[in-house]
Amino acid sequence: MTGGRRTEGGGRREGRERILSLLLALFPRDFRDAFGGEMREVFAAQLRAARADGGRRAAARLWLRTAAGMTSAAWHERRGTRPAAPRGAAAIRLSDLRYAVRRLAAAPGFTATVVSTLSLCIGANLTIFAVVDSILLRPLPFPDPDRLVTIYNTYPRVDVMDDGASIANYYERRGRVAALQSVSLYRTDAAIVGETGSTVREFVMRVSSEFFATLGVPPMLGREFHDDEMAFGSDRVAILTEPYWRQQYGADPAVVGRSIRINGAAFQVVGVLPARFTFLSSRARIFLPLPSGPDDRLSSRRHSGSSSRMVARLAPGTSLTTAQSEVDAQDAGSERSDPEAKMMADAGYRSVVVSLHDRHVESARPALLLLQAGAVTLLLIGLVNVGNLFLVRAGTRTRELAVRRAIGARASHVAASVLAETLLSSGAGGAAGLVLAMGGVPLLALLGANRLPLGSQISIDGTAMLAAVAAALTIGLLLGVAISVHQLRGDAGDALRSDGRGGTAGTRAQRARYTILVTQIALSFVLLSGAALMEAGLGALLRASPGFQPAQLLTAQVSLPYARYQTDASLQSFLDRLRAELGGAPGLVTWGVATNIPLSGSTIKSGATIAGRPLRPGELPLAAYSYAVAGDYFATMRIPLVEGRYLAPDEIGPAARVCVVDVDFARRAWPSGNALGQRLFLGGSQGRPDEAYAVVGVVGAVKQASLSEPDGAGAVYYPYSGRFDRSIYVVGRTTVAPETLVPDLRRVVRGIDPELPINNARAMTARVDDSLFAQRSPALVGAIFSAVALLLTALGTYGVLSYAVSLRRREIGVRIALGARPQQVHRQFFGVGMRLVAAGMTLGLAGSWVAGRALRSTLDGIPQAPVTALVSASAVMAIVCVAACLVPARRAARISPIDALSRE
Amino acid sequence: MLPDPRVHLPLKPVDLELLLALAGEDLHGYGLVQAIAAHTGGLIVLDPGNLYRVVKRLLADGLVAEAGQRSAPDEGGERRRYYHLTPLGGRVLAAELERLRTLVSAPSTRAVARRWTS
Repeated sequence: MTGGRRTEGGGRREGRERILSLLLALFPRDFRDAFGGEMREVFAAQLRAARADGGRRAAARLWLRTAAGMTSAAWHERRGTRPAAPRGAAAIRLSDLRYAVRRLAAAPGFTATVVSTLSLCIGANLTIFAVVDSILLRPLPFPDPDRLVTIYNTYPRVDVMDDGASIANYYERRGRVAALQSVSLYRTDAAIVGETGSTVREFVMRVSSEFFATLGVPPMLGREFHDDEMAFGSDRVAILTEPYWRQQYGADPAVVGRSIRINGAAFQVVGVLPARFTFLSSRARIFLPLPSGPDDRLSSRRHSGSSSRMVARLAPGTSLTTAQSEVDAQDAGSERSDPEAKMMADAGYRSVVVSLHDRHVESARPALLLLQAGAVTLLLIGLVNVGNLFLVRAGTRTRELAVRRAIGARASHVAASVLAETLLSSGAGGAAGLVLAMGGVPLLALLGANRLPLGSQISIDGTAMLAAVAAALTIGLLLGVAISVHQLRGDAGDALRSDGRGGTAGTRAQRARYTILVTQIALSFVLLSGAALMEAGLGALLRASPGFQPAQLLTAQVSLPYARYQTDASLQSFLDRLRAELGGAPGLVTWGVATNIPLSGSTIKSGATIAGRPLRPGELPLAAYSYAVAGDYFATMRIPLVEGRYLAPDEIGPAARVCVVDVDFARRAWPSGNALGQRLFLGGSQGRPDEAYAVVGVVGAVKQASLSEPDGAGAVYYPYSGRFDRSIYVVGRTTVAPETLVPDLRRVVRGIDPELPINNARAMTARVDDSLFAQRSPALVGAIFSAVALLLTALGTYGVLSYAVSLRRREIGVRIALGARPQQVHRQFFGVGMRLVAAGMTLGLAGSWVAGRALRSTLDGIPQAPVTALVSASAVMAIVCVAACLVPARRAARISPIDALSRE
Repeated sequence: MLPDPRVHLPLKPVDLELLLALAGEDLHGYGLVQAIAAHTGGLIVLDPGNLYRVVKRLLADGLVAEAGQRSAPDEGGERRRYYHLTPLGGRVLAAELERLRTLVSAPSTRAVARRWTS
C-alpha cells in the first residue's frame, strides 16, 4: 500500500484506489511492499489504454478480469509463501520507541492528560477487578477446591430458601452416598474463653470429626477430632488456629495437651491448624466439636437444620449432577418412612448440592458484576477521551505525516510510530493504575467490601497484575490501530496542498471526532443515571420508617453460658438483677430485653398456629418472626401501639400466656379484624388449650431483615419469662450518645456475673447504617465513577469543540471581518455543541433504561419509574456540557479578524 | 563455472514470453504486459497480480534483474522501474528455445501436427 506516487488527478481516482487497495490487501505483506506501487501503475496504464480503445465497456471488462486475476494470484502467492513476519507491536523498533518518548515528552500537557485519564480508568477497573477476582474467581485455598460442595435444605414454598443441613442429614449421608467422598457439618458459634475475670468472647466454629479431612487440610500440630468426641460430655477438646496459637501461646509447640477454659469448662487443646488456614468468611479462631445426642441423629429430626451447614467433598471424577441425583435418590428413599414427608413436599422441600465457593459468594456476585460493568463503562469513556486527544493531535500532525509519507515512509512505519506512542502511554497509565488500585483496594474495604463473603481475602494478586498488563497492552493496541488507520486513510496529497485546513480528510476526521463525542456523552449519561438511580433507591430506603426509632438507642448482646444458666430460674434471676441495676442508671430512660432485635442479622422465622383453626390439607402454618421480650421493650424501641396493650414488664409465670402481634401478622391471621382476645400456639400444630397464648395487643410492624424488607412478614412477641433463651439483647433508650453508656452496661453485667462479657454493643443507628451497606457501597462507588465520567466528558466536549473552532479560525476571522456579528458565531458553535449533547443524551437515555433494569434486579429499593432520578441526571449532564460548550463558543466569537488572518 | 541453465527447464509459457519480451530491450511493468500481449496475439494479457508473481519468481531465480528507474517516454515521462534479462536469463532462454526447436522438429511431432492441423 505504498501510496506516495500519483500519476493523474480526476474524481474517479479515489474510488479506484480504494478498490485496488482492497485487492492489494489480499497479497502477503512483503509482496505488497515490493510490488504494490508498480501494480497500481500497471493497472492505471491498462485502464487508460482500455478506455482509449473501447471506452467504458472495455474498462469494466478490464476491472472484472483484473479483480479475478488479482484474487487468484494473491491466493497462489499466499499458498506459496511462508507466514508473514510478525506484525504490529513486534514490528516496533527501538528507534520508534525513542522517537515516541521524545514526542510525548515534547507535549507534557497532552501526555499528562492521557496518562492520568488512563491511569484513573485502569485503576478503577483494577480495584473492582481485584475484588471480583478475590471473591468470585480465585479458587478456595484448599486442595482440589472444585470438588468441595455444600448441601442445603430448601423449602421454597414457605419462603425458607436455605435452611442449612441437620445433624440427622449428616448421619444419613455420611458414607452412604457414593458420589460424596466425605461429608461434614459445621456451625458458627461464639464462646466465652478465658479464666474468671478475664474472659473474652471469641468466635468459634463447631465442626464434625472429618471437617478438616474434607477440606484437605490436616492440623499442623496434633490431631483432628475423633468420632467419639461428637457427643455431649466427651466434646471437651479444641483445635486452635495458627494466629490464636501464636498470640495466646507464643507459638509454643508443646501446646497440644494443655487446657483451655471455654464457657466455664476445661477443654484440652488437641491440635493447631496451619498458618493461613481460613474457612470461607469465618472469623473463628478456635474450632470445637459439634456435639449431638442420639435424639438429634434420628431421621425424624431431618428437617431441624437451620443453624448447621454441610460441606462435602465429591469423589474424584464425580460431577455435581451425579451427586445431586444420588442425594435426591436417598431423600426419596427416606421420605417413604417420614410422617412429615407430605408437609415437606408441600413446602417444596429439596436438598440442593452446589459448589461451596459459588454458594458462598452468590449474594455478592450481581452487585460486583454490576460495579465491574460500571468500571468498564468508565474505561470506555476514558478511552474515547484519549482517542479524541490523539486524533486532535494527529490533526495537527497531518502535514508532518504527509511529508514523511511523501519522502518514503511506509504505512507500517507510520503505524509503528503511532503504536509506540499509544503503547507507551497505556503502559504508563497501566502502571499508575496499578498503584492507584493498590490504594483503592483498602479504600473499598473501608466502604464495606471487607464485609462481603470472602471479603477479608481481597487483595491484588498475580491475576490482577496480569489483568493490568493485559489491559494496558490491549488499550495501547486498540488506540494505536484505530488512530493509525484513521491517519493512513487521510489523503496525504490533500494534507500537503490544503495548508492543513479542512479538505475531505479534515471533514471526515471532524465527523469521527463528533461521533466519538456523542458516544462518550451517551456512556457517561448511562453511568450518571445509574448512580442517580442507586442514590434514589438508597434515599427511598432511608426515608422508609423501620417501624421503630433508631436514634438514641443502645443495643448489646449477652450470651449466658449453659454451664451456669441451666434453669429458667437462673435466667430469671439474672434478669431480675439486671432490672435492679439498670433501674436508676443515669442517661438511661427505659430499657428492655429481647431474644432478637431488628437488623440483628438473624432472620429466622417460627411457625404459629391459630387456636381452633386446624390446617387444611396442603396449607402451611403461618411463619413469623418471634421475639421473647422483657422490660419496657416496646416503649424503649418506640414501636407504636395500635390496639390493646403492650406486654407488662412483669408478666411472668404460667399465668402469663399472653402475646402481642404486629399489624402484618394480625392481618394475615385474622383478615376480618378482631385480633384482640384471639389465641395462638407456638409451632405448626394445635396444642393443649392451656398452652395457647392470648393476644393482648397489636403493635406496628418493624423491619427485621433489612430496611428494604417488603411488608407483611409478621411478628409475634411473647413474654421472655415464658420462653427463656440464653442469647439476649439488651436495648436502652438514652438521653446521651448511646455508645457512651457501653462501659456502664459492661460494669453492670460484670457486677452480676464476672464471667459474662457483653458484645456487639452499638448504637442502633450504626446497625441501620450497616444494614444499608449492600446499597450504600455500590451507590458511593457509582457516584465516584460518574463524577470521573462527567469530568472526562466535560474535557472531551471542550476539547472537540475547541479544536473545531481552531480549525476554522481563518474562516471565522474572514466572516467577522465581513460583518458577521460575534453572537452569530457564538450561536453557531454553541448550536453544534448542543446538538451533539442532545444526540448523546438521547442515546444515553436508551442505555440508562437497560442499566435501570439491571440495577432493579440487583439492588433493593430502586424505583420503578425513576423520573426524578433521570431528570436530575439529565440536568447535571446538561449543565456540565453547556458549560463545556460555552467556553469554546465564546472564544470563537471573540476571534479578532486581524489575528486570525495574520497567523496563517 | 557457470550454473547449468537446464535446471530451470522447462519454462512455464508465461515465463518464456516474459524472458522473450526482455530479450530485445529493457521494459517496465506495463511495457511487459503490452509486449507479451502483442507477441501472443492477445492470448496472454496479464493482470498486475500475475505479472508480478512471475516477475518475483524470475527475480528470485536470477533470470531477470532490476534495471533501475528511468523516465518512460510512452507514459508522459513518468519515472518507472525497468527490468532486464540477466546473462543467466539469456542462457536459460536460449536453452529453452533449443529444447522447443528439438521438440517441434522431431519427426513424431511433425506427424502429429500434419494429422491434426485442419
